Amino acid sequence: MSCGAVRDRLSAHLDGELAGREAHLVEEHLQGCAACARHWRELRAALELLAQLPEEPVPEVVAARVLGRVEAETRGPGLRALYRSSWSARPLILPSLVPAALLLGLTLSVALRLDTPAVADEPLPPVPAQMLGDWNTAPARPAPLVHTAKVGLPRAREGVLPEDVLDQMVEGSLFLETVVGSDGNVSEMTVLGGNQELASPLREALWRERYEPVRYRGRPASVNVYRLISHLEVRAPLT
Amino acid sequence: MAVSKVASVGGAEMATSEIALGRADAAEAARTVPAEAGLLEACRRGDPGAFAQLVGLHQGLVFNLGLRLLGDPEEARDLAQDVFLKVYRTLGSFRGQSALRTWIYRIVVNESRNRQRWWRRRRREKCLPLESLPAADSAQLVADESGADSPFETVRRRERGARVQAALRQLSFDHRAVLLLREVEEMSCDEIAAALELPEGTVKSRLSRAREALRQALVRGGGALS
Repeated sequence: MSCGAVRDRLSAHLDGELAGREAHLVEEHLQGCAACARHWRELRAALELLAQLPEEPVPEVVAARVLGRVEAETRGPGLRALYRSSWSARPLILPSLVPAALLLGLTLSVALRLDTPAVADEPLPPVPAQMLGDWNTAPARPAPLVHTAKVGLPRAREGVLPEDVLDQMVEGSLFLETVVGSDGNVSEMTVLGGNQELASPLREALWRERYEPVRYRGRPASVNVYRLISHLEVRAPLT
Repeated sequence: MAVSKVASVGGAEMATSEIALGRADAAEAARTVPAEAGLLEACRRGDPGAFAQLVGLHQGLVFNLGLRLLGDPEEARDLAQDVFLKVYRTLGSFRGQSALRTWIYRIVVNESRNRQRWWRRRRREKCLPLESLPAADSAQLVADESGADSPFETVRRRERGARVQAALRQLSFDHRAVLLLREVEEMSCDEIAAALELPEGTVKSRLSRAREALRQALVRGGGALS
């Protein structure tokens, strides 16, 4: 058997898939050919290295976010559960949070508005009327584009909520809507619910945040981000 | 570090209690395979605890496979979220013709492939390579020191890991996928064929080329191999 033929069969040989006679021929060749024997040793060593890759710990935020989004999708029972579990501990937060959350429905939905008017050649997909809200009556703005699946959330580039602001969060939560513009700056901010006393220091910190803007159809676009900020949340950078 | 999270109304409390499912529990539960059907049924009924359990059981494989396929922890984290949401939304269409694990692998590979296409175009140049990045690394090192390994052994192991990851990055996505499923996830060729929706013969020939490509990449990367 030639060196080429042997090397073509090494993978199958490794998996024990060669028939008896073929396996024997390969083994025989490996014993007599130093180059192929070295090739064989390297192949096995490479796969061993691969199999020994250390398992990395999963960031806690993965499960927290997945379950949070699933919870938001199964709104009804989810919010009832939240109401039950948190009512006794934080009676003041929920009355303001729950209605705000219900109004917004799927809170992870991303409503996208293109800033640039240069998309005239590309007709925008129709937007469900209920998602348009006030924008319907604001013709000066470009029509908002509702898009959920393919548009990511903007990534925070800088701007971290300062510790002293966070410490105040022990006593409450704040639910707000921010608009991250196509330049990566926060351009709008609306407090939707929660402890209004927290709004002022938080808003200052949030205005300073800078993002990597999301892109849609190759252009930077502005995007609505709904945020629930509270001491309950996993401490992790906003993505 | 910011505590802001994109609004997940009510998720936080449930989440923090459920993600306490440690690896030991996960391994324990994985052994009780017949429980899988019951778990799936409970997920389909909309039992949030059941889905949390499913996430706890599989998040390790989803995150780690994504990490090896994409080479970037942040991407892998986002990928894992997308994968589980897809699992949640399509649970109704999963009929159990393959193992749950195989089905999840398929979603991970497909989502990674899509994400990589998008990512390559947009922001690859901005990402730090895996071996220079994870902030978790230093924490991991400290954690390992308390275990059986010496710090020296720990560092050596991480260096080897970085070297393998660098070699993997030189392979095509398809080669990387088939190699990881076979060598790291220890799937059989017919399981891989089911997960990737390919004929078994194609899996075997691709695996052979991928193994050889990895050998060459590691040899090029320097250091003794055999």
